[in-house]
Amino acid sequence: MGAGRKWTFRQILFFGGLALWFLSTLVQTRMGAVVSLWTALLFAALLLLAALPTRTLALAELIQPFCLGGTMIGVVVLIAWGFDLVLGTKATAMRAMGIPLVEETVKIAPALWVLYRLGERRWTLGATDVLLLAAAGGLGFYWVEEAFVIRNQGGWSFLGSFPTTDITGGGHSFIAGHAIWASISGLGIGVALLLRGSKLQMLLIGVSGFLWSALDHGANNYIVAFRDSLSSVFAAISGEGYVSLYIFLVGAGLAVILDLYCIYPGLLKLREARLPPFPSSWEDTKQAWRYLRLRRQFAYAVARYKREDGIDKARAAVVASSVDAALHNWHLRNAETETIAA
Amino acid sequence: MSSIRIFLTGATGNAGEYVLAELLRRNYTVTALVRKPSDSPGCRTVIGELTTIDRLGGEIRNADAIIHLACPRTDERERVLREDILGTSLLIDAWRSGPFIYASSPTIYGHPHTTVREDSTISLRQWYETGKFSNELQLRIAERDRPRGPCVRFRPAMLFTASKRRHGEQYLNSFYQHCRLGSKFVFDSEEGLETYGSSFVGGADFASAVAQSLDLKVGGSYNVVGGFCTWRQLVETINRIAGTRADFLIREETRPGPGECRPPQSRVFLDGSAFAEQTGFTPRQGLEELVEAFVRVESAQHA
Repeated sequence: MGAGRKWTFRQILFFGGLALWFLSTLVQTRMGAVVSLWTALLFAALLLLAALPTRTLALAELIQPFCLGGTMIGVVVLIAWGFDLVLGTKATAMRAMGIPLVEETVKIAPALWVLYRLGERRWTLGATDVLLLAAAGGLGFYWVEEAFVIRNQGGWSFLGSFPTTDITGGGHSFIAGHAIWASISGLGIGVALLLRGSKLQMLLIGVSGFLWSALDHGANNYIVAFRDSLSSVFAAISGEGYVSLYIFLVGAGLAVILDLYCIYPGLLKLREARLPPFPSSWEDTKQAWRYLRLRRQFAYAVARYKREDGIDKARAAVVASSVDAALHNWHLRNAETETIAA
Repeated sequence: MSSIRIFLTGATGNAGEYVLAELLRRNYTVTALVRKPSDSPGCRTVIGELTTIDRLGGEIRNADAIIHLACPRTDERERVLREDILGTSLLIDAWRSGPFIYASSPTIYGHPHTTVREDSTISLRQWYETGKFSNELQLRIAERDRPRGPCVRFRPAMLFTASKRRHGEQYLNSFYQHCRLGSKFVFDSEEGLETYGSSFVGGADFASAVAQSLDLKVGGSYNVVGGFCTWRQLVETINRIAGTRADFLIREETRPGPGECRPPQSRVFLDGSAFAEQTGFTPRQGLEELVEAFVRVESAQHA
């Protein structure tokens, strides 16, 4: 009998919960769950494709923020209920601006949680990794919300649900959608973590994405609820919603370029960072992919090391050296495997 | 006096005493970093700490070579980060030209039971070796980013010295003290008794290797080895020279009881051929001579 994979209790609990969540959403929303999952996956696929040359995170590592993002919709429902208790159910400016702020906060929370849980490994992430974490949280939130929106509307159209955005008013205005807003929040954090700099600089860059997302999301909700001079100001600031789309596209492009700069011209020509031999089998390909991600981790860790000062530089050196040791040992293991195969 | 100026850290350490003596013998002009004014290694000194070494920027900039031996022998995270890694980082920042010689450690290989070459598996388990390997990486990054001279990173085998600092966490001292107490050395098997041990290098041989590396044109990581001894050979040599009566015990459970000592149950055999090929380095100090020198100094002190 072959040695089958042994599941831990935590894994069984996680996948059991995940299945239950999917099934209950599917039962409640039917086609809504299928359509919104399809569009969410399509959006994720596009982002993953863009981040293919730069990401270090494994796909499995994005499942947790996705699930947490979906769970967060429950938190928002509770907070909205609190809002209604205090302010009444009628539309107010406070509600129009307050709920988006809460939503943006809870959508970025899963990415921040994962970053916290990663410990020192977070210093080996690229800007696109943080973007992906944030996008995963936003997509989890989007999936649940959109599924219920489709169910409540009683219909859906492919174009209307893709790519997790809405183009309204005959193309005149645009709603960025949860995944894009969360991604913009993540972009700020990812760039700040990679570029380092003073604490104030990092804080400003780090929160800038979140602040914009909260503003644009709030502006969108306000414009839908009110037609007054403030809604015109919001429409102008947000470019009828299109500014967020441009920020997302340009920001994601810049994050990829920044990461590529760390990996390629910035990557030291150290012996252990050399490219692996061209894979000749599926198993080799999987190994090579793991190695490439490790190599990127090293590049990001070294990039951070070079930008740090004082005791943080020492900490960065430790992180970089632990990845360096892993790279060094990877080549040895690879050479050993080749020798055994020969 | 030679016109070549060397900035030396760790001059009062276990290996530093020998390195300084060798450099002075070769007529180098040495400036040593010392902590206290009372530390007088026998050359020009500057008072300071590794953590504030940037204040001595002028001294370091004027040096034609840097030899960095100083290191806190600790596994405390904060001390390693601050005193070892940050200190080395500041020293690298102040370095302007010439070779940079750094004393790393073979503990970065862990305790493999095979012959260890410079490209063997790295195993960072404690903060001490993490600090050493981090410093090696800092030097390699500096060497490639802003070439200023060759970076030589030594991984010397277990140091056997009779220096003033021989009583620190040094194996030879530990074995000697247990032999004096008539301890029983515990091994997990007959095979362990016959094979467990470590490569070693004498202080003077290491100093000679450091001095020879100043002439290297290309940097690299090198093991420095004088010889190999099993723990049994070491204990028997101490017994013979010092007249002690330590003995051996073989049992599966190696946790030492009263009057017992458990030497590392491993065989660390370093291959030092790469450095020997580069420089023609030939060790001169054998086990007998090193133990004799140690016992002589100890006896003189006790007398």
